[in-house]
Parts: sequence; structure tokens; C-alpha cells
Amino acid sequence: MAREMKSTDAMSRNPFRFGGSELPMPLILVAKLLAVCILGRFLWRDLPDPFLPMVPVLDLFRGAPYLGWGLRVAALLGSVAVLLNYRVRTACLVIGSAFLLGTLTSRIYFENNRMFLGCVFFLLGLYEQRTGPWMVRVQVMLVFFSAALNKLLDASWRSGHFFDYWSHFAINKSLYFQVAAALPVMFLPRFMSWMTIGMEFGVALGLMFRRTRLAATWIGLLLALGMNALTERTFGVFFYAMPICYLAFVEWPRSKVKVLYDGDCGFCERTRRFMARFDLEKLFVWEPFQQAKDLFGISQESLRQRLYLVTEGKKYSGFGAFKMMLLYNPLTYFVMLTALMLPQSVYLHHRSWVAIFFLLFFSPLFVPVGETAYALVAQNRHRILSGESCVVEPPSHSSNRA
Amino acid sequence: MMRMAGICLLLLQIVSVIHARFVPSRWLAWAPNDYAIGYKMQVQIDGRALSADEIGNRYHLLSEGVYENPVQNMVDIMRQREQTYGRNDHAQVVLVYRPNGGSPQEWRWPEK
Repeated sequence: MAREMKSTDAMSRNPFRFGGSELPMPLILVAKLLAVCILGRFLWRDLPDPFLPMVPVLDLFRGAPYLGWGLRVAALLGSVAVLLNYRVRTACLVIGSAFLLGTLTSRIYFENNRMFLGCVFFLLGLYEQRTGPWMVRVQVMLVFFSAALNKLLDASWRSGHFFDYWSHFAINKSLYFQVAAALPVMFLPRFMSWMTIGMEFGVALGLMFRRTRLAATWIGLLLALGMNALTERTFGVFFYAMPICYLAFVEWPRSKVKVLYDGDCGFCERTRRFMARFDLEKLFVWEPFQQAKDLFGISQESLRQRLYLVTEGKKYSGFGAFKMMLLYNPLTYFVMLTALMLPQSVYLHHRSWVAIFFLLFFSPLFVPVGETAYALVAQNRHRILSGESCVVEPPSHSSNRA
Repeated sequence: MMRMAGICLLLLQIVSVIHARFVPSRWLAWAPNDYAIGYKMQVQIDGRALSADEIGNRYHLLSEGVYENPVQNMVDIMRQREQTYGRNDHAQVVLVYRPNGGSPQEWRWPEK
């Protein structure tokens, strides 16, 4: 099956194609989404000319504009190259070098989120098949661990004084201050401080182990969402970049994913065609269960009631199957990132709401709603689009009646 | 080779994080937005006080605001500016700051 996938992989200049790239999934997805951040947020434009560099020798380039321009052009062209699948690893190295050199070139330019971007791209550029994704993973864990450690060892974080002071100019939600006023003095700032420290340690340590990785990812996403909801800030590019980098911890399917559906249903057939249109990597193989050679131990009765997705020994059905189809489709992440990066108006703080919607939709909390909606559609699917042609002959009971 | 380069980059960061435990600044040490320093700076050159814009041009920092890194980072910037590009200006700088809402403190250039 893996060989079959490789044969269909051909180098493409389509930004939404990933096959044939020098980086495997999901690292290429990480690289492309980060490249979108660089282009969409014009981060390449901010790369500095030398000014008060961290490394004195870079002061030799002061007054020579070509270094700053070189960095900007390198980041811009590198990002475009990553999107177009052109020498992806080299392009990642170029982007990473530009951001890291930019950081060393000017103390004013230094921001943790920019350095993070530089480190991740540099490590993506150093990818080798035998090393796999662990260097990018260590980078993410290192940032969280160091940030949590720094807070833990800071007295003003432990006492909550930092959060109390910071909240007055950073948090723009009156609800926070109403709750703080209703609670004992310093209770809420101290709680928020310790919660942040706990969450950051939780992410750093949770990402280390396969079993706790999903929980750690959720904690990280909730931390990012919480900070954004409270402050309406994206902390440079951290709000986008860190969740994108969680994708480096995802076990992407190495072989085709089988989708078993009811071939005796025009609506299902139409759904298949719709979903297949957006499956640019041709990862999903749709098969009417009536014609399938292998039903993976699923009964015909179950398959008649629900759609099933089978990938590397795991089975998902109904709403869960649709959710996995979305999660295993790279386009989903481009759509989410675009929605989150759209400029937001001063009065309508839509970014937090968009993030809440996405998190809620993919969270276990939404499963009952999703399953109910799925069941409703599944029960009435023969009535919806009843004129559609079916892939297989109608089942025997209907032919008997005829 | 590639793997060694990656390991070196990660090790450098670990060294930087450990080094940060022994110094007040937080350059390259993964302490994002962990500080809130309310500050105001005054700069005089040849007895003339610089305007907010002039201070901004000189240090590429606002003359007044909240800085989300340790104050030592800001001090490093101002000190480096005065020791290098501005060493002939003989500027007199007063930085009044409140680290994380604590009591006001002061840093002056030239340092005694």
C-alpha cells in the first residue's frame, strides 16, 4: 500500500500538494503553514538591518543595507519556495537562517516567537529520514519547559504579582476583573499564574510520551486560546506557530485510508464525490461496502447504518469518521489558519470566536451534537437527493417489493 | 552531519536557558512575555532633554511604556547604544522602572 502511495506522488508546484516533497507528512504541512504565516503576516518585511547586534561582528554590516535586504529577500523567497515544493529543505534552511541571523543582528528585533520560527525552520531544513521529526518535537518541548521553568523560579510569578500587574494593561475583558474583585485579594492572579505554569509543564512533559500526547496538545491549544481570548493578542506569531508545530507530533497515515460507505445511496455517493474533490493527496479510498473484499470485521448491518473509516488498524464511524477525514486533509489546516489570520475589526473580536469554534468542533464535547446530526442525516439519506444514481444495485428487499 | 547540526542548535538553546539562570537578562532563553516592566526614560545630550521621538530614534524603543522582557534586556540595549554608536554623545540617561508592578527603581547612564 505504501508503495502504491509513492507511485502516485509526483513533484507538484501546487501549494496544496505535498506528495514528492523532500519532507514527509506532517512536517511538510508544518513548513507550509508556517510559510503562510510569514507571507500572510508580512513577517519577512520585519527582518532588521543591523542595529545593536548580539554578536558584535555583525556591526561591521551597519550602514550596509544589503544584509537586511538579503534577510528579507531570503525569507520571502524561501517561503514561496516551500509553498511551491521547490527544494523544500534548502528553503527551510534559508528561512531559518534568515530569522536566526535577524535575531542576532538586532537586539531590538529579538522576540521569542521570531526565534522560535527560525529554530523550527532550521530544524525542518536539517530533516533526515533516519532522524524523523524528533528535532522539531524537542524544539517545541524545550520552549514550553524553559518558559515554565522561568516562571516557576520567578517570585513574582509564584505570588501572582506579575499576573496582577500585567492584567491591567494586557487583559481587555471586564469579566476577568469582575471575577477577580469577587474573589479574595490576589486569588485569581495567583491561580492564573500557577495554572499557566502547570499547563506549560503539562505540555512539555505530556508531548514526550505517545500516550499523553493528545492531552498535552489539547492543553497547549487551550492555553493559546485562553491567552488570545483574554488579551486579543497573538503574541507575535506564537498564537499560530505553536499550534501548527503540534502537527509534528501527529502520526500521519503511512498508507491509504479506506472509507466504506453505503453504495446503495445517492446522497452517500454525492458525499463521496464532494469529499474526493478536496482530497488532493488521494489519501482516501472510498469503497461501497457492498463491493468491498475486506470489511475489516465490521458487520454489513453496521455498514448499512454508518460510514466507516479504517486506517492502520483503527476504525472510526459516523461523525468520527468525517472528523478524521477533515483532520487528515491538509486543506483543513489551511482553511483554519486563513480564518484565524484574517484581519479583525476593532469591535468584532472574531479571532477568539473562530478559534473557539474550531476547537469545539474537533473536541470530544462536540461529539454528541455531531453524532446526532450524523444520525439524522443518515436516517434520511435515502430521501435526500433521492434522484441520485447509486453505485450498486438496490438491496434485495426493495427489489422484492418491485 | 545534518543531525549533528540540529543537535548543536538544540544544545545551544539548552546552554542559553541554563546560562539565563545566572544572569538577570533573558536573551535567547525562552522566557516569552514573562515580564512586565512599566518604565519611563529620560535622556539628555549636552544638557538638552531629548523628545520622545528622539529617544525612539536613538534606541528604537518607546520612551515610556511597558516592556515585556526583563529590564536588564532594556539596559543592555541602552548601554550598548551608549558604548558604541553614541559613545561620543556623552548622553545622560535615567531609566525609571517598576518590575512586575513592584516598587520603582532606577538605572542611570553613565554607570557609576
